[in-house]
Amino acid sequence: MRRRGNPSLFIGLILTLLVASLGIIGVLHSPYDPEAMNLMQRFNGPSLEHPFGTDHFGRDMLSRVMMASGTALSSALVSVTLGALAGIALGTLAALAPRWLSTLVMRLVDALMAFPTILLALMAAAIFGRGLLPSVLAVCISMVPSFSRLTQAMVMEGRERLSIKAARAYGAPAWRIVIFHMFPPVLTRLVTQFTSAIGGAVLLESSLSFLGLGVQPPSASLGMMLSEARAYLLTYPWQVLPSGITLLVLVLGLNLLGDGLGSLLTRRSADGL
Amino acid sequence: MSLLEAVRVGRVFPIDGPQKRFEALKDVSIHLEAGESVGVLGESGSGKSTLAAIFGGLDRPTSGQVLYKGRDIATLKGGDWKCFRQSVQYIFQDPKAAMNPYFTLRQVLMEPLKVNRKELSKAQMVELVEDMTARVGLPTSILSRHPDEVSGGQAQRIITARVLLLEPEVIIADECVSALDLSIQAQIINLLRRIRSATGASFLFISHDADLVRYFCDRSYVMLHGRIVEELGQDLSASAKSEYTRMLLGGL
Repeated sequence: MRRRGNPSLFIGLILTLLVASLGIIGVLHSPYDPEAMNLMQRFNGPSLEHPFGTDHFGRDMLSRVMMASGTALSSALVSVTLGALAGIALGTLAALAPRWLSTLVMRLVDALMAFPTILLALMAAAIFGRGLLPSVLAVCISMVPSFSRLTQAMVMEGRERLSIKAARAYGAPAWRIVIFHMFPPVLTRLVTQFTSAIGGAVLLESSLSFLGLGVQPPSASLGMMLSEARAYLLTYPWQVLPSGITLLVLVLGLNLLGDGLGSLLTRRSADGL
Repeated sequence: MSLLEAVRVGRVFPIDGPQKRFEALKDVSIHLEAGESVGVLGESGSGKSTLAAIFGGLDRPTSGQVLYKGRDIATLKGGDWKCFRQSVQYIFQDPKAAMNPYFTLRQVLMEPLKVNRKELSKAQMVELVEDMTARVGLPTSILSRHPDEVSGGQAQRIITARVLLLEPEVIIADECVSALDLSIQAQIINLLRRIRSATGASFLFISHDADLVRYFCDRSYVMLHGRIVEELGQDLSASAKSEYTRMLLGGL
């Protein structure tokens, strides 16, 4: 049956685009220099000049949120893309390789999964120093297990599927089977997983920068802005809102988008793919 | 010389567990003549489906051979293999699972033609597909639907149409109506009988249902634990000798 309407897709898309456009506009043009301090303008609430107010250094928080959204989204995209590619490669290898190799690969993936991301980020920071790169690397590595497990399961299950047996029976060549019969359901799942993983990565990157392991001052990141605002929570509570709400909207939007894409793309798969 | 013949076929699967191997087929010999319908009767787990897969070249036996017009199919190459592949077709138990869920039924029916009849133009293919849809008793308007939007009986008709488009000499029907309601079962079986008399195709009809086999087949084999235990004539019970066969015929 065709489902009518898909509110999570719709709302998710709007929320995500909202934050993404903030980030993109911020890259092209921001109202103020996000790093310019103005000690005369500290702790100003929202006004026409500074719609999101100013922080403890008098920096325009709208500009900082714009910059931070751009960083959050682009670093999440990069880390998830790299992590997904590595995961897909490992998963395919594990599904097709001889038994000993596939066991080896999957146990390594299990070990990776058991490894806390924060610890991974600390190690990366110890090796490469603090900054955006080690946090991207840590997030990227933490994305590998889920993608490799998904890919392995789907490739193994796909080979046994009746529709593929049938395609072989009427003589479809291997390339046709892979492209038309095996790939579409895998792609569906991967797209869904990818979108949700971006949400996870944004959150992870924010926690790392909240702990001071990610983007370094004076650059802006959502997690770091939250951590700075924490010091003034009692005297100037407004400061946590711009970065906090942006983070909330972005992660909520990405998760809804992932759910929506999932139900949009999998409705064809009657046989429980 | 038989059209299709299995000679002392065995199939061993490696499995986890103390035995390490599972013998799904042991020394099975069956033959199928042109225009003949042969039943394979047995409980689930008796090796029927493994035999079906090997008989049509979807799986390789670990011992023995399958002969197509007297030639071992393991030695067929290139054009000969394609010819064999095209002339032996399957109707599976779960028709919806045998179709790509992302295809429309039109695409489902077009693909075998695109693969095997490259000389045809698109328009000719569409015409063949629509003719065949009508022949299996479906309106052509159904072709724009997806597999999850039709009933099980309609899906099995589409699968039958897909098989017939390739004009096979042998149709292997592996429990092809077990997943359907009784009244739909009868419709599909009668459709297959009509097709049989129209095309003269041979059938390997695999089922656990003795009544269906009796109704559809000229003779049949009884399988138990991967072996053929008995060969029966058209009237199953009259010729049954072994204890197991009588129990199977009585019990089912």
